[in-house]
Amino acid sequence: MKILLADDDVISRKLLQRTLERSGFEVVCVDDGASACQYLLAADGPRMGILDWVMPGKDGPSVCQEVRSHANHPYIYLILLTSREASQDIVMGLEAGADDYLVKPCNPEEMKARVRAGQRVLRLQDKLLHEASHDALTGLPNRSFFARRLSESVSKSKLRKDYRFAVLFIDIDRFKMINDSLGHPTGDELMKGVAQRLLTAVRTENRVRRGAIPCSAGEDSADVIARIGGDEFVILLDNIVDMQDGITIAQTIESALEPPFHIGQHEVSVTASIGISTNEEDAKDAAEILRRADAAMYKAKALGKARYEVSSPENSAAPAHLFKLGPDLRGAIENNQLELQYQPIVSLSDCRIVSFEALVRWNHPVHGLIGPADFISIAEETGLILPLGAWVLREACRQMHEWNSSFPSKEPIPISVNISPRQFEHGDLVASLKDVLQQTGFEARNLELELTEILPMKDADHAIEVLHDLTGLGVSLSLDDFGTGYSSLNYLSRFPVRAIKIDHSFIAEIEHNQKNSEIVQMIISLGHNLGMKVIAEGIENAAQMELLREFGCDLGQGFLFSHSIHAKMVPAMLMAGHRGESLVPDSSGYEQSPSLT
Amino acid sequence: MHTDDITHDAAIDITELLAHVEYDRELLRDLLEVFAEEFPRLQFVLKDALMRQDLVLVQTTAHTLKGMLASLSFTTATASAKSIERMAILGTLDGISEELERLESHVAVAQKKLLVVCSEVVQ
Repeated sequence: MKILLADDDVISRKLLQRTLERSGFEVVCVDDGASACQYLLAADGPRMGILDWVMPGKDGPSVCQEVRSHANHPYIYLILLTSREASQDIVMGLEAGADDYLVKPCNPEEMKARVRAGQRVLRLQDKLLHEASHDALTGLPNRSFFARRLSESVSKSKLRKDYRFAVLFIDIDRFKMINDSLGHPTGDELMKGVAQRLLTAVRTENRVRRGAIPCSAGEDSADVIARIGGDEFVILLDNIVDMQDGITIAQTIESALEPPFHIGQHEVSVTASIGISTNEEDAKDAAEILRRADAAMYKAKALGKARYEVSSPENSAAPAHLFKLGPDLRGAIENNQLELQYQPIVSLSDCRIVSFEALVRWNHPVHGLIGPADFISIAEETGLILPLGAWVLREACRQMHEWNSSFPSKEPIPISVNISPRQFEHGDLVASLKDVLQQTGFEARNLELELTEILPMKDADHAIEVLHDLTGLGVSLSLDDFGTGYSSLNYLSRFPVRAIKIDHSFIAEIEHNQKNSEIVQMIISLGHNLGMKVIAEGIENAAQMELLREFGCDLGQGFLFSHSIHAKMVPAMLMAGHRGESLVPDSSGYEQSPSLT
Repeated sequence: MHTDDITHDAAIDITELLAHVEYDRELLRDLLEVFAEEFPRLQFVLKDALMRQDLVLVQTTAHTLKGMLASLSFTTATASAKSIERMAILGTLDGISEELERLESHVAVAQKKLLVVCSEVVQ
């Protein structure tokens, strides 16, 4: 540590200097108060000052006062040297800003002890400052640190027109699901691992072209990586040439995250959605630049995750509107803004409708029809998922009962309804379901509840109990998005589940992707061996359907057969089904709604 | 004269001084050399200030001298410097010249004794 020693008495100064140097300190000596101020307030100056009380020009207490008047300067521990032992002098010195005092001539041991005490204070202060500006889990800078550095970059860009920087907003895809299924300790370890990979990705990235702005003395122009939320990281790329450098880093990060993380006994794979903005877009302030990166990240999520998007005027408004949805969502149920759409589930052997899946949409008075991807997570975060889920369940049962009564056939058509983890955990799902069935008159055997794969795994024993209570009412259960979670096969065999739904991500490209094809075959085989039906989601073309048929998959849904459709179109589809018509690909003949599924 | 004979001499507290320099005799010799240069300079400043009746300069110079002498544990000389400083603070010039003479004589005794200590160490 560097210590400034200011004393005009050369004998005293030499004595103190030697004592401090023997203790391993770097000592800078001056013999007047003005020089002391200059050294202490310089960038990268000493962290501790030992100041003689009486000095030419400016005395020790005045130096203390001046140093303390620079509130933004890093804290300097100040010790006054005095031969005056009157208590009012000591009080005056401490009031001027000194932290401690030493009476001259100094006992070397006492001086060393007081300097060590000062070091402890500085270390504690450094620790507190670090904690206030860093994330405790990953050790990365936190949001406030990042905001400060971003503001500095914005200020710099206003002075230097050729200065460019980029902000990368990174959100780990499906982190909530990982946390829920593998537990928070695993999620925490994962975040630590992600932080390390981000650091490595940015630090070892030599392909970024740096701009022409030289760093001024004492100025830290290094890139900043911060964690600003549970699974949200931001990166400030300082002094770059243009957006391409941000893209290069985004690509490097995506590659860095590819190898799975080994956490305890788990092997966890993650991807990230990344939004990139730069100051090239003439943003007003730091918040605007961060918001634009956030908006681009949302776009990356909306386009299927595991990708990056650059900021553009089109996507820059997205998060603002999404954030505003929270309060609006509260009134959505009361104001009848929610509606259900229905997507047929067909038998893959003959493409005939066997059931429907109810899918909620929000008919927002300003933003129009909003898909569940844009509001279900908000509903989950705000707890609104409970009334929303209850409404969906009731409305789906009521509507399907009405259709089955109006368009009777040999076998009534069942309906599938998604149940969120919060509904499942809430405790009164069984009782409220009972009420819904009683009030709507809908037969339990025609209702299938779709649970996400992670949901029953969280507390498997309790889940099995609830699942049996549900099936005890007569409803069927299916596991949705199968293959994306972390199911234990042991538990899976104990769940009273009728069907598993293979996640659409495995079906996409199945005809070209051997790996996906093998996974799908394996899931179908697994499901059948456990006595379950297997439903493939997201079938988009005939080739996929043919392959799935070949693999023995029982049921399917997807754009190939029909998008989700408005309730008023369902009767026509039902009647066609009753007439024995199948949803033959490319000639369904039904009016289809915009592609919201 | 052996070191033990002078450690409790009134002019200099050798025990205290050796503790201050942490028994570093080399440092002690360095300090003596610096003192040999600094003391005459301060002596001159003080006498000149007295001649010009500049009480503020008398006070600050006496204060600096006091600190320097105390650092070397020149006990009696420190007391004289302290008296001069106090007289200057009180605004009286009477007796300062006499006190300065006493200070010079105390310093001479202490310096001599300290030189003996240093030379014993060298031998």
